[in-house]
Amino acid sequence: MKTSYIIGIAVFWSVLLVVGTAGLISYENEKMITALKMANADGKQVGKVDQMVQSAIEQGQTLWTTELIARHTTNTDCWIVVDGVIYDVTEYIPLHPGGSETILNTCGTDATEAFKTKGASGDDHSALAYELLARYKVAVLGDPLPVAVTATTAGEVAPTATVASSAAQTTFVSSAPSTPKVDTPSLIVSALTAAVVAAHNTVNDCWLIIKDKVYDVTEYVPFHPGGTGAIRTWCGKEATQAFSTMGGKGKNHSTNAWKLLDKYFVGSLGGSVSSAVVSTNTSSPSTTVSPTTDLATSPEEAILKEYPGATIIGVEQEDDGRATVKFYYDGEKYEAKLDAANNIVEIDD
Amino acid sequence: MLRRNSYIGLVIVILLVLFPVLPWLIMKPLELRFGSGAAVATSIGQLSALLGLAMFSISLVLIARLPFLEKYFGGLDRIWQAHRHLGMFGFLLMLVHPLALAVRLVPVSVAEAALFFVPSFADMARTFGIVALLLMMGIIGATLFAHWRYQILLKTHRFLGLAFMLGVLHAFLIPSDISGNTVLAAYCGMLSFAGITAYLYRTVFARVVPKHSYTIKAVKKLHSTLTEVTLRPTEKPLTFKPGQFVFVSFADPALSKETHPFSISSAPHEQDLRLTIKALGDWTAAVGDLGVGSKALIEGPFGGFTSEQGVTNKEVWIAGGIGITPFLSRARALVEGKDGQKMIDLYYITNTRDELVFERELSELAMNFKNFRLFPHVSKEQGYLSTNTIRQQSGQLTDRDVYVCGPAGMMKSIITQCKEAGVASSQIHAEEFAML
Repeated sequence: MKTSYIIGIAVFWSVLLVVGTAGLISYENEKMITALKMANADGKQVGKVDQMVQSAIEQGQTLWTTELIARHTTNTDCWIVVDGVIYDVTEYIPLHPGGSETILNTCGTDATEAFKTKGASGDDHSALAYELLARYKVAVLGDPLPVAVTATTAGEVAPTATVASSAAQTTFVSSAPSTPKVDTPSLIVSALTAAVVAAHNTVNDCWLIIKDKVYDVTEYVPFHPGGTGAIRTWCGKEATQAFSTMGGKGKNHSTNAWKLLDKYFVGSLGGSVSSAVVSTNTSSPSTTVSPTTDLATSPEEAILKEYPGATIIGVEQEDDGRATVKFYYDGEKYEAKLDAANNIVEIDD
Repeated sequence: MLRRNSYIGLVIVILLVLFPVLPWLIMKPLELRFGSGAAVATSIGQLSALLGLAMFSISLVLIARLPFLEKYFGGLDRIWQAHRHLGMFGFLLMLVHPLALAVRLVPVSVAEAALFFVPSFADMARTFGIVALLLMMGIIGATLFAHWRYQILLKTHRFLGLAFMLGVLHAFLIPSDISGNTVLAAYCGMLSFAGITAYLYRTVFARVVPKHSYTIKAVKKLHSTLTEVTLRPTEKPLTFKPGQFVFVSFADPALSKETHPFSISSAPHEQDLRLTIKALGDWTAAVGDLGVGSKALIEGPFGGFTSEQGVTNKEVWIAGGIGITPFLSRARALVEGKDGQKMIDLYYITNTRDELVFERELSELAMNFKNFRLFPHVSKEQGYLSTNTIRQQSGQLTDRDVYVCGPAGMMKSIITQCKEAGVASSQIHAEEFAML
């Protein structure tokens, strides 16, 4: 009896110690990977194209719609929608603490309700669960479909379509695609109203209004020292009070925090902002709006053309015009060598 | 060692514990259960919790001293044994439970796996589980290793019931196969309800436990450490078989109102009930100060250390020290004609000669009953009693029932020796009196 107890306790605490230590060591590291994965997940808007999506694009569809996820319903291919964002949760199915079939039941559908109530228990998922979910982001409903592919099928219309649909997004039209070929300046410049901000109300697409300025803090959410949950409540809302009191604790954020906030500035409330800017700021940097000309004008562009959605982490340009680009693509790290005309000549992973 | 019908209880317990595996197995395709490393880890985590919960629930029911359960286990001491083993096994499974569930997260995120053990107010269901497990570790550790007074240990041990309730809360709040399957939810709900009810019956509602009312008629010091308390029934007396024991508590200024178990040393035909109590702790040492006329409450009788367990008509009784009490009752019952046709050899072992308090009374009985023989044995003078010595006096042991009661070390040694001498398990009867 005593021996069993001692052995049991010893094994338990040793495993705990090992996992705990390893967890502590890899914590910072994983934060970075999460950030990269999230950046990449945005990239998947371009990268993750299955047949269904492909044919939708060929039929002239330009925006992500619920129909596009409806076929991902199996335990080897499961997409769900939560808060208007599409996630590919296939990898997570066997890990789900609430049982795999609870996820399987929602594959291919809008699981927001189920996610927020944990099926029937009525409890919302934890902040941790939201962070985990963010890792599996595919795209935002109503966002433009992959540009690169659009370009091949719709030719010169693509850039316009992208801008137009981005504009549609900023003015909170997230349902069926409208007329994508409209090319009027009024759509390129959209008003930054409270209603527009209100559409960005999830942790994976989070805008805040602070002192009449609009900030897109999506990228920062997982790093918030006060926890993801503290920000989540304010996504899409007027958060001046909350920010200057740390959510009612009465303490203002530090000068440093205010400075950090500046980094995520989108525009002033009531002002107008170029949809292109909005698009770059809506946590999908560098990819969607890149014009698809045949000749890449920079090494970055060349990489993005070849590896849509890649996250570039460094560019070294030689005097003679050759360049080395390091980037993440689909979770892997790559290093590419380019010649002076920005053609990829060598690629290592 | 096997008592009559004692396997029935064990078989039922095993079936009750294993039953939930069945709905668990068929509620989902097996591929989801064992299809990948993560799925296997999840399955181990879930199964260990499922079995552990069942074991704890049953373990609580077993310790509620329900008289009707005795016949299926062969005595309360056997039920206690089952309680301890189920409890310990359940506890070990509960340790496996979070480990398996955390390890499955490692391939996704080591930090996530580590965070799995960190309690948080945002996730109360998981936090309940963590607190329950920590409580169990502490309390079981104390039960096994702390050298506290018996009653303090007992009180500490009872807090395991609270840990269990937290665990049940955890099991039903957390999204899992239990909450997702009606059969499992109903079954686990039923088991844990039984466990909690049994626990409350023994703690909060202990007043409703049926007890016999007695008054103290005499308190006699038999030896420096031995006191005999004679009790007279104030209402209907208790019916018992020689060899059984009771739980007693006294309403007397000399003693705190604790409940202690003692073998009955009187015979059933006697009007009064006699308990022979050895001073082993503060409470038992103060028994000599009990006042005549004080009230006593008695719960029982319990125990299967009775002549009914015998399979032959030749018996060897081996009593170590205070372990003589159940045999005293049986020997005194010889007058009633009980065990009259049985050949009985009683080995009465003490450390020193002056501790052979009942030698005179027993040898008088031996003179009156030809089939009953007494062999006093003083260890300090003659060394430890071995089966060899017994065989020299009683002949072969293989065709006899051996009854042994005494200190744990002595019992263990005698039982081992008997087995080596070829005595069948069914012929060896021991009173497993070590509690907790």
